[in-house]
Amino acid sequence: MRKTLATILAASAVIAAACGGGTASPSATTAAATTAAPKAAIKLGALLPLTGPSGATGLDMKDGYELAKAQINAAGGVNGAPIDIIYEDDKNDPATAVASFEKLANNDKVEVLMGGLASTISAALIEPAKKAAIPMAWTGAAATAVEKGFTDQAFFFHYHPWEYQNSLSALAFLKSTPYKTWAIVYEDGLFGTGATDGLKTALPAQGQTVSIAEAFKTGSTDFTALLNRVKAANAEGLIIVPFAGDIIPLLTQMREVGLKPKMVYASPPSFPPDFGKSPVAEGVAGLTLWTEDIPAPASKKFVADFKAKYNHSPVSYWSALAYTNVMTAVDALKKSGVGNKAGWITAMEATSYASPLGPTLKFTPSQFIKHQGFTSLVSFQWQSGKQEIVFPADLSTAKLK
Amino acid sequence: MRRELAGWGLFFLVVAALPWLGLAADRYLMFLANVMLMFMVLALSWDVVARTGQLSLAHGAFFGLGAYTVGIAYRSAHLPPLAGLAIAAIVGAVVAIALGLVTLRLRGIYFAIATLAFAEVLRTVALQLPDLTGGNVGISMPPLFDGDRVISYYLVAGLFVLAVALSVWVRRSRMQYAVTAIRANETVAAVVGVSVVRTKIVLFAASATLAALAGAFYMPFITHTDPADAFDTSRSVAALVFPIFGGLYTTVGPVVGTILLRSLEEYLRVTPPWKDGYQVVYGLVIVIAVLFMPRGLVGLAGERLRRSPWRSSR
Amino acid sequence: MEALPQTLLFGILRSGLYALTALGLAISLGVIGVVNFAHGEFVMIGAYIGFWTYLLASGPLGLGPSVSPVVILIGIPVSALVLYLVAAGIFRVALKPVLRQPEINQMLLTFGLSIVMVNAMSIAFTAQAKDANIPWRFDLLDLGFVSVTYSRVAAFAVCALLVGGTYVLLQRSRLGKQMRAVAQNRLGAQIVGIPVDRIYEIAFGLSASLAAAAGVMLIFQTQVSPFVGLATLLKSFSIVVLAGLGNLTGVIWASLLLGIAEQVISQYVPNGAALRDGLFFVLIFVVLLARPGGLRR
Repeated sequence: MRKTLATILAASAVIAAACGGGTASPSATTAAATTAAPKAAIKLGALLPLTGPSGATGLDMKDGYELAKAQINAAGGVNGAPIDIIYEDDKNDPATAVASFEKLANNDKVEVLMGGLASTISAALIEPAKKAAIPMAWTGAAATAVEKGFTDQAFFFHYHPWEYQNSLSALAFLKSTPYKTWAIVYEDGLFGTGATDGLKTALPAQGQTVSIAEAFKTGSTDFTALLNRVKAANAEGLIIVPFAGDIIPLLTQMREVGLKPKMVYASPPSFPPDFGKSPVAEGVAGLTLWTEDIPAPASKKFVADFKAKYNHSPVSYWSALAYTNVMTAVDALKKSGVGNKAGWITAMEATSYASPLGPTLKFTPSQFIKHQGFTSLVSFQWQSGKQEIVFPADLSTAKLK
Repeated sequence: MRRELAGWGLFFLVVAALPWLGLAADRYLMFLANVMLMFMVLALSWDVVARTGQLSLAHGAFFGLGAYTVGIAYRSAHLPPLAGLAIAAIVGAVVAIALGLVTLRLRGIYFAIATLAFAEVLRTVALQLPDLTGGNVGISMPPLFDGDRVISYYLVAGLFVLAVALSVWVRRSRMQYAVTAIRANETVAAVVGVSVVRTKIVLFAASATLAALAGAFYMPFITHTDPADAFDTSRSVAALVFPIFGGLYTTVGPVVGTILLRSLEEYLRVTPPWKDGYQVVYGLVIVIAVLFMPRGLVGLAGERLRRSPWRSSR
Repeated sequence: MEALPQTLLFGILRSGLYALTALGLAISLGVIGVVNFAHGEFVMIGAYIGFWTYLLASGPLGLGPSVSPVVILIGIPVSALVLYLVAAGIFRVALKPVLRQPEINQMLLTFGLSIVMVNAMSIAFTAQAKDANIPWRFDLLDLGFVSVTYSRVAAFAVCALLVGGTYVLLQRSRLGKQMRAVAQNRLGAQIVGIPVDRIYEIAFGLSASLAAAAGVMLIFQTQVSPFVGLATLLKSFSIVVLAGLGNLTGVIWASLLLGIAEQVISQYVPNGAALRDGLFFVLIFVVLLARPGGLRR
């Protein structure tokens, strides 16, 4: 028994040692699987968290990517060649992400690198990316530090609005409400702190007051003490910047301590599934890049296709963003042809895509970078279990209650 | 003794030669090699403390402390990474002596939880001092050696040599008797004249210094860190999984354990069809390893290698 | 200070779940001597079983508002039984062979099991956190000075009942006496004819069953995901260590201390909700330094 095991271990050691030299083989296998197509597959890379707590969002994005891939390949791929996407799990760990980046950029030699969710990961990729100068169609990371890091890099196209753009969208909505005093409750990570720091300076600038700002650790199950302090501050409105899992406990426990603000504005990265069905959802307003009910035709088609393929609704706006990510990156690739970095950048710059997210996607300069995609978010309110868009007026589907 | 040193000398030569044997040409493998050596330093340093019977969950915290020392030195005084590295060693040693002194009486799981508590406290401190640490946003700094991973490889290989030296020295010097006696029974050890306090503190400090150095390397190597990343508990766990897998209380064990487990995980992570469930396979390998090799790989290979220079002292 | 009674009440209600989770861990540590890193995963799987019970009761069975007690009455026995069998299986296949190995090896083994369970669950049932919108999570019970959700009260009652029941089992029953005998002296117990391995298996199963029950009550408070285990585990370890190894009554005091301390810190320390965990660990640190064996008398 022991001998056998030793042999197995020795063998696995050899394989492991050889894995570097063999890194080309995984993609070769996948390419071989699609030999039905006459031309060799064109490789794209996607760097996402696929395991661990952030894995849920990463897998939602993967669904968006796979849907786009299937549609592109069904429509003839890139000038006859199918596309193949190599997914790599970044484990939400910077060292793993950089390793994957180097593998995708140098060993797999992908045409375009897509993906991106957490700011910490993207921050660690800045230097390697500048060295490789590989075309990046990057979805996530909202932190200003990341934008600064990629200042003026021609190869870098960024889709998700930056932190300050999120804040501007939220501020515009908050200004449109009749409430003057606000309390803020935020998770103490990068996400919550970043948003709150912006609000603390910007709200007073537009004539609104922040009466209290309290942090909590995400994943705590008890917020009653915190909410008591908020109650004592007696603000008209309450802004919460939580992660998905914190929302229902927060809203429920508000009722326990008798905290009844005139309005609750929540801006998590995504709301929990079936949130609309919970009794605490009614009337809660929030900020999002997209909801599945927005009236844009491209969105309706995306939702229908998504449901047909997966038998469930998109989990969050991230799948729609990922879908847009592939569609635009491949469109540019069709125009520029394979292996033409400069051409791809020019083609991306000319992007004008009626995205499922609502607005037509164009890349324009933002504070530091040359190519920023989406620049604003919409505000919505949960009304009878549905996300009705209430701001800005030109996109709204219902009135704020 | 001589044969063991000759063995390690040979191994160091191989490590030093790797970049010239084609490794440098592959940016992906070169990066992995840097990280692998960094984890070997962490694993070797953890094992040294384990020899006194103390299960430390603070090695990830010392790693984070080292990372933050370099980051803060750069952020507030623009000190270069190498200067930061030196300061990190000192900070690591000082903090470890303090922690070692107060936790001296704790054994087994009590020591483990106290060191875990220490790690959690450090993370909270890093979060709550944004003027110094950048808070949640963390710290970014320019890449080590301008991103040249061959030079950084030799730097971390140097740290690795230090870690091996400490590990071998403890095992081969008179210290070994004291260490073994303490692990077996602290009271008896004290009665027969072993300086329990001094031995434990010296080893804990030396070990924590190495862990802090590994973190000090990580910071400019990765160029960015924040409290959640720097004080990630999973690094404390890695520091103990690798040595146990390879073979405790040895020098070869932590090294081989790190190489095998890291390679296995990376191989599974990027290779279909394992990709989708690689963590499950990784967990199963650990379970099977404990079931079939209770003394780690080194124990398993012990019989055959009895006469080789790699022999463990057990 | 007007919030003080409320702070204390919430702290006490909170400690029930802590005690139930930690008690299981204390039993596996006290009786078998195994530091079980997969204990949090037992809680997690128990929570999933509770969640499915809820889906079944609210969906096909269409129980409407009476679903909350059903989740407790059916979910807890079912998940306790399933987890007992899982744990007994794990004991026979993996744990028993390594019982005579160093403590550290057992820890690595359970750590490996924990990785397997978390990732297998997230592959099988996705990593997406799931919310059981159980009515009791939202319905308020007015106590005059404060309102509390039914789920909070129910969780405390259920936990108190199970913790109490376990104590009675350990103190009064033949099985309990055998367990305590094995915990005190393995060899002696063997000599007087107690089937030690069998007792170990039962103790490990019991420990997992308690975790499973805690898991079911967890879905009355928060979302279920494959990753809820780790946080649960760290807190339980802290409680067991605070109590002192082998001190089962101490688990109750330590849980109360943790529950109330957390609540008081969040209420009265500025920014306390964010500092809570950090401060709690400072507390553990101080207690351990003052009393290296925990609070044990």
